[in-house]
Amino acid sequence: MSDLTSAGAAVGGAPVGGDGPLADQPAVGGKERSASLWADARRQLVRDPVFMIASLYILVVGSMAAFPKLWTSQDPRACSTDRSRISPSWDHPFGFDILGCDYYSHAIYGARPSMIIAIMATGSMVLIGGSLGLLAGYYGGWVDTIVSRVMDIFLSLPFLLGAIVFLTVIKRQNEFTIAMVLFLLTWPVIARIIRGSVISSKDLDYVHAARAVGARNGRIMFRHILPNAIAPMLVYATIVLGSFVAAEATLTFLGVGLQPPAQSWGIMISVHQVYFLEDPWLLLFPCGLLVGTVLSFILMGDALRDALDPKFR
Amino acid sequence: MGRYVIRRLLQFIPTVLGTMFLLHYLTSLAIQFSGNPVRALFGDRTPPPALLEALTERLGYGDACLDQRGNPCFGLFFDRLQAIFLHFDFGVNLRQQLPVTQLVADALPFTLKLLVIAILFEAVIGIAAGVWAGLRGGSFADYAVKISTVFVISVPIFVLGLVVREFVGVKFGNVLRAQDWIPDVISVGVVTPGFKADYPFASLIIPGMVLGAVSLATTARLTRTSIMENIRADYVRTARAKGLSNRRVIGVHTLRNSLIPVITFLGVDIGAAMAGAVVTETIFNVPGIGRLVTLSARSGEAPVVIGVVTMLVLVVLLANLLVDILYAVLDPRIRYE
Amino acid sequence: MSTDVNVKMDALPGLDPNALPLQVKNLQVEFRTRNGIARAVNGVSFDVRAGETRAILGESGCGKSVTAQAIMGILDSPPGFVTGGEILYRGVDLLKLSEAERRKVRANKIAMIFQDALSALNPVFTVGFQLAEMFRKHRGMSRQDSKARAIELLDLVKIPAAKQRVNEYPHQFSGGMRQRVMIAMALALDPEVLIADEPTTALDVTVQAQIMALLAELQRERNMGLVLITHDMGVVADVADRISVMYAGRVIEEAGVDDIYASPAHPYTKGLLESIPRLDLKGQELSAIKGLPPALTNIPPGCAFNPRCRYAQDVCRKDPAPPLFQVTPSRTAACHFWKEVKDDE
Repeated sequence: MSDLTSAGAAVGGAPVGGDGPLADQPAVGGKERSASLWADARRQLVRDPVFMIASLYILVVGSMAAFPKLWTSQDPRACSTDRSRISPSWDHPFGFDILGCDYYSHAIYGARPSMIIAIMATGSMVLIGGSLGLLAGYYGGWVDTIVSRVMDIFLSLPFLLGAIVFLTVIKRQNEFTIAMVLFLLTWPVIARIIRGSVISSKDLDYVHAARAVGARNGRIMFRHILPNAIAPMLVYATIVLGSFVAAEATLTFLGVGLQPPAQSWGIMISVHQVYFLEDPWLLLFPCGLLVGTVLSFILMGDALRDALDPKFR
Repeated sequence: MGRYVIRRLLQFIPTVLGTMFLLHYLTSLAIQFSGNPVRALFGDRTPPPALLEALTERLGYGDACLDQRGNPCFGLFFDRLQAIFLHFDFGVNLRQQLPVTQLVADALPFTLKLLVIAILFEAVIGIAAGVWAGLRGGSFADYAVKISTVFVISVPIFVLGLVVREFVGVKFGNVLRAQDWIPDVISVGVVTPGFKADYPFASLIIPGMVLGAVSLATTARLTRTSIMENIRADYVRTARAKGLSNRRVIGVHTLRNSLIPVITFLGVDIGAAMAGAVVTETIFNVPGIGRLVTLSARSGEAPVVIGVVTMLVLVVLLANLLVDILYAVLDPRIRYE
Repeated sequence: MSTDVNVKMDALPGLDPNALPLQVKNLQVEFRTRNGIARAVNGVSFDVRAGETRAILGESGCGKSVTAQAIMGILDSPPGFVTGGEILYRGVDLLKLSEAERRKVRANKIAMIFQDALSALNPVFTVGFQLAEMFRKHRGMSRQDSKARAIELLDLVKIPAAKQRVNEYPHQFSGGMRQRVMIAMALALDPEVLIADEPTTALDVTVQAQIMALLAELQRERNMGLVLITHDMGVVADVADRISVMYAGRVIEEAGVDDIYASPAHPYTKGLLESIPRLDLKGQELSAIKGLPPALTNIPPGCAFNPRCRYAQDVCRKDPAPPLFQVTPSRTAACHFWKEVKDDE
């Protein structure tokens, strides 16, 4: 639940900063100003050790997901029950799991589904949620009313409960369906952020000026308004990647996510939870990887927010 | 005030209908794309067609619209609404043919206790930590709260639950249980790896604290920011200029304003905690609503899952409504808008 | 809260009923920030007699509000610290009192009203609660009695329908009415000195005049000392008896109101007066003081005003800053060339 129910609560309920400090950031100036904002942010981020360590960690996990062969030559499916639960050794740094499969390679291959789900869900959330937020904020009026009402309805369905219902009924629990349900239940959060920042930058002088010289709506939206909304969106998307990694593991743990022959950290934890006391490493390795990934995404998001928000300078 | 409440009530109705329709449409879509959920009850066996049809019909999945992909099935939706609001009927479970309302009524007391413990825990500890950190901005206390909240947020609750269950409930519990002088309420009741029927309250304390832990961090953080914003406010300066004691300046003039967003968050969090109870109850084997959802989901009892979640969603929405009204009670600026 | 109840001010050590109600001597306040130490108030002295209005005049950032907050003892600390000087109430140095004793002086003897009454009143309590609080906590009165007193106070500051409005919240009042509530609150305990920090800046011109008239009337009735902090030369001319002009944390000229308007003896005061639009000079270019006031972390050596001053010579650019020269027995000016300035034109 630390996944989205908390992120959802943190974001859905306005208090904690869904439309946080960034959404209403004073969107100053035109292109020059934003160019320097990004340059400043980059400079500050490179000098931030927390951000650098977190992104290094994500790079490692990302390469595990993209090229598992780079990290291990073992096949996680080559199992033999007589090796069940053998402790870590030099050749098998994470030992063997209950079925006698190499645990290290399972952990490496387990990164992929988490990352795929998180990226698919976040990508569609940014694209579709972002566009709806942009339209609602820019056109206002009845477009805004309809989109906002629909957002309210989606947000009032607690994420975890909605996901359990959908995944129970659909029965086909794979990367795609999990990503879909994550996206479906959380897109309003990003739409809300974009809508807020569009509304606040819509009335800026240079936007009026662009309109006065006859720029088309599309041009105003993409050249003048969207750039201001990118910063808060980027911050939130980074944090949400972490939440989705946690969400996948939680759903899998509850038995409505990925199912066993598949490999994922959630499955590793869920299958081995009863062996915690005898063979703690069976849980500590996947838990450590999972928590590290979530933490890194959150820290990156925090660092990004600090770097991109002029108020923190 | 009265007008505000009425307006909120009028906004409440479409939200309830919309949320229920969303839930309905999601399940309809899932059925349309993946086939009859009743089949899942038989596992790998192929049921006799007559039995399958009878069950399908009885559970309300016989409607033709469920075969057409994308069809919103309005007819089915209105039937469901009617069943829920006129007959308080949320469906039945397949194995014992018990009504969902009955199952929920049996499980409710455990979940309620769990929620009360969780909310109390996060409110008391979270607000205290937040106030402490907020009044000492930039100090060690402030820093400690900031760092620990990031860590708590990034540990998924099921990981936290597992670790607590094994380390505290089992390992630490074994140590306590070996000591004779510790009363059983503590060594067997409180420090336990799972719910015990003999200690219906004591054995829920640790699960409740785990449930409250995640929002505890958010509560503390929110209180901290809110205090730090308000402590520099002009009206706090006025309160000082009025010659009031420090205790009154902080305790009445600063806290009252600072806690408005916190209390709102706690109210909204009841909904989140209800969803979180699904995880906590599963880990600690508490026979509450959350475990009912998980067990039904694992055994493919889709009608029970849908029924229970519909009921929970109604409760969450109602809680949100009450929070909005509470907000207006606390902040006169909202009331008179 | 028993300490607040029934304050007997005779308890203050060294209280002299014949001494001035407020006397500030060589006050020093600094702000310790990350960007260095800002000397916000640097040796300010002035006094107020009973029934007199003392104006403190200056641009924003010159230290006048900080002076007021230091007198009240409500500086945000950190970063603000009083590092020297004396603040005397009837001969008692407030800076030497304990916090509990100091609190008894606040509101009881010296009270303050603020610029923005909307943010200075607590939004979540009724106006009546905030007024009654004064009587309940300082005088130990019951809820009912203190509420009755709150209504009387609202009547006193001429708020119509006081009985109903006492139960309303600050945001339900108009700007002028809110400032009246602030005044009522400040006067609740019959203070001997009232500090008004830009009391009319946030208001419309017509409302400004009403509020100033109300303040003047209440001051006369109660023979109260008034410290009026403002940047508005127009307001000062109407109500003030004596004026202290502040610049970069110092008093640079101190005189009776007529003297200052007739013949300012400091180039800064002169600049301020020349920048007021005047009907009789219609058509002529309005002269403004060129440049900006210095940052308090970076005050120029010598006279702080020298970079903007048309009279400045080498002596003005060297430390120490010019002291207050006695212009006449009743007025002073901190300028080496006060004679030239005064006699110019």
